[in-house]
Amino acid sequence: MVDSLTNFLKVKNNRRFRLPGFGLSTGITLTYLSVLVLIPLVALVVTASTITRHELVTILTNPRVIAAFKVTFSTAIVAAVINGIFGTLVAWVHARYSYPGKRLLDALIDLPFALPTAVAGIALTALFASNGWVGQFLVPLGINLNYSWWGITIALVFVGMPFVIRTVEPVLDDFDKELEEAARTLGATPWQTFVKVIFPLLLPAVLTGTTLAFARCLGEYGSVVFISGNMPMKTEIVPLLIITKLEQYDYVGATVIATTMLVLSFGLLLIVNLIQWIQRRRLGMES
Amino acid sequence: MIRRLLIAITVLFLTVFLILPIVVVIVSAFAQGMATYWAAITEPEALDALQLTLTAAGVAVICNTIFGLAAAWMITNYAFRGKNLLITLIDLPFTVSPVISGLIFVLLFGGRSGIGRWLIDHGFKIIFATPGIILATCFVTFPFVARELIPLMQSQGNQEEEAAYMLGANGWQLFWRVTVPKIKWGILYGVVLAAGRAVGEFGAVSVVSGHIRGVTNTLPLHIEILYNEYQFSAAFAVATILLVFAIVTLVLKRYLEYRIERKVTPS
Amino acid sequence: MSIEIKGVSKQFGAFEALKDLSLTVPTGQFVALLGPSGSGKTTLLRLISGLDTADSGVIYFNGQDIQDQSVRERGVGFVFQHYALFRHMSVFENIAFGLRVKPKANRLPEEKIKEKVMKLLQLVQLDWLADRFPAQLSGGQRQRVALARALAVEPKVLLLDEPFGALDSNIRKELRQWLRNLHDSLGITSIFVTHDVDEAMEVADRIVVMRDGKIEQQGTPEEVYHQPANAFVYRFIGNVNLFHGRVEDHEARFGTVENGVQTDAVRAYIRPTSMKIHLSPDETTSRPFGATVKRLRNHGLNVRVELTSEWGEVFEVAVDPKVVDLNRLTPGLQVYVSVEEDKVYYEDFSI
Repeated sequence: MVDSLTNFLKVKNNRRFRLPGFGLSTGITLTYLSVLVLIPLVALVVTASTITRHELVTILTNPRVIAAFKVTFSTAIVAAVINGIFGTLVAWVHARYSYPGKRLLDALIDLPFALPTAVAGIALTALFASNGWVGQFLVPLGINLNYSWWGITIALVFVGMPFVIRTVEPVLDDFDKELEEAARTLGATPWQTFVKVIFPLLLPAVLTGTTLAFARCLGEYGSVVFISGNMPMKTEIVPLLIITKLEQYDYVGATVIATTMLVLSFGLLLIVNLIQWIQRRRLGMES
Repeated sequence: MIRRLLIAITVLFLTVFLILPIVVVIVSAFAQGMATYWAAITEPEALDALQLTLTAAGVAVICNTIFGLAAAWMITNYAFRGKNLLITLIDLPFTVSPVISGLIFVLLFGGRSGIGRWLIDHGFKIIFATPGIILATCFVTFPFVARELIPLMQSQGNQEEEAAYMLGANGWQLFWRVTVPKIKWGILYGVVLAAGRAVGEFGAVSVVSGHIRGVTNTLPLHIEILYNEYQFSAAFAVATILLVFAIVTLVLKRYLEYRIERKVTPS
Repeated sequence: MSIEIKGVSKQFGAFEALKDLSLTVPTGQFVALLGPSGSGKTTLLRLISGLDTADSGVIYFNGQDIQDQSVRERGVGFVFQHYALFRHMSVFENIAFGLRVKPKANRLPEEKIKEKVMKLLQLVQLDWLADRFPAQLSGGQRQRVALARALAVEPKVLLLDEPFGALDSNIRKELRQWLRNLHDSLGITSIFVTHDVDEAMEVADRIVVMRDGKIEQQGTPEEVYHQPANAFVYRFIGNVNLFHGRVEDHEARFGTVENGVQTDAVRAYIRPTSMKIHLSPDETTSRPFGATVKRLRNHGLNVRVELTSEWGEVFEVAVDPKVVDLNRLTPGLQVYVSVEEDKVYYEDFSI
């Protein structure tokens, strides 16, 4: 079996030798990968393919479904953009300036990454709901974040925060000081230097981080369900819709929506990666 | 000065989004006094949830670590076609949203599918039972260890292993005496990340569990139930357990990063 | 524009990079700051540009104290060792950068900018590369673009920090001639930092030899080569032989000592090019000393003959193969070596 596997994978038989463990490592890897990842995903695809076109259209044109997609994608984009802007700002401040407590805050930036989404969900609700610590100040201003689109977005800002910051920070740390010095000797003001020299070179990292944040926000469930109120047509997100359908044993509906979501997310990510690839080719024609 | 303004905005932003959530959890947990807090976290259902969470996380981390080691070994030491495809497939669970991650297991093992019916007839309950939760947790944390080890081992190369082999070491000796010492910090780092995620997983487990109190609730699900029943202090009390876990994860992560001396971009 | 540096000092932590240094550069001169790493030459350059500030001392541009002027205000052109080109901009945009960031009041209209940039590109002979990006250029081309970029804003002084340090040696030689010609046609005051002696000698009007934050000597290349102010300069400017001797009767003596004791009271530095090999002592009028040929070594244009003196010191003599028949200089052969006395540098410790 190892031999046929070897042939299938066209393992190169170097004139040297092969380290032992090929059979075992390949066996574990492929088996585990298939059972845990491939087969379940295939199950999704298979189930999806049993759905008739008629069913598909009916489900996807349902107003509630469309509304859920709109909510999910719009909140994710806006949250990602907010993270893009503020994340770059935080990365800049942390790379260039120091202030008391910076190390603590810097370490905490990974919190959204480590904190269980359910805990984040109830904490953010407690903070931003109309009787929350922050929310109470916003109510007199007319901003009520309970059960609102903005509530979802704020929660997603929390979720996506580390992505932009951690992607941009290293680029800033490694930034070639001589480029800024050259710009100064050529007469540029600090602002001009930032806009014309620094930012264009940061942009790929900012875009990558924003994309990562966007991808994460699309699928987010736990952090959002508490503050959103889950009102159909208004603040219902796609993941919740899928769960609702499952609880109603509407497997077909759940599968259709899930598959559509996957296809849309993959598609979007592919487009963004393409854009980045083009950008990098322009910049990175370096050897 | 612009500098002060930028720092001020940064501090405000980070404080509101990072410090305040932590504080609000702690304060709300103790809002009704120490007794309520203690009762909430020692309640049998909470303890059951804790046990289930730890079990699922433990199994997931162990399985995924074994997988990560096997995959990294395979990718580093052998040349074969489809290597890039394999690496992409390993990343796949990252790109799937948690709820969908749970959904696929429901489709595969749930009552509607052939496999599911066979299993139920023979008395195996996967969905709405512990095995399902473990599976979903494994899926969601699948790439963590592998993603750490693959680039690490690739950059370290396999010359030491080859040298040891030529000196007569067999496969296991190679692995334990040569490879593992090299990558031990990478393994720990991946384990910490995977454990953090496994304990906190909510969406996927929510789908798969059926929310049966005392039986198929993990801690995050238990929190959700308490919250929906307006037992806010209890919910936050249980949440503090997870909060402590998260902070420990963060501290370990930082420490390990320092040991490995590199910055890791999140995924 | 003339530059005057007076009593300038600069410390980085505990390290004193510059110690009370003074220097004058008249308008239009091409000055080389020459010295080993750590001598402070780049620090000095950066202080002139404003990229760093001195701890003490004053710097004058045309008699005016510029200490309070920012980098932008000083109007210096700076060329970095690793080019510092903006890799997201084309060659054209790099060169135009300085012209485009000028305040609205001073900014030229776009067509004029284009004219200027193209003229500069022609000056550095790269007009055909205007739309390329830095990543597509060779090292030598990148440095020329960097130079054109610095010149675009018509700086009053041009500062170059080891501009050819990152390039291959043959490109280096080409470019240094080219830079010299450029300077001659533009007449701009230029200061350039290098640790390559040949480079400084070939290109500069005046060489400033630096060590440990101080100026050891400044002068024309000939002055520095033929009249070194001290042993360090002598050694640094050209490779030398070192002979140990002692003082006897107020004279420096080299050669075998009867009681076998050699003191280090006097040192003589002699360049390999300042000695000649003779097959018999009568061939020369000066007093030669005896030596044995060890081996021959190729050294580019001439050949280096390694010899052991009759009192046991090893040294080298440069020999022109067109003049001397190398076949006759076999290892082990006893020969006689004469010295051009006026080219010897003595260092006397006993006085």
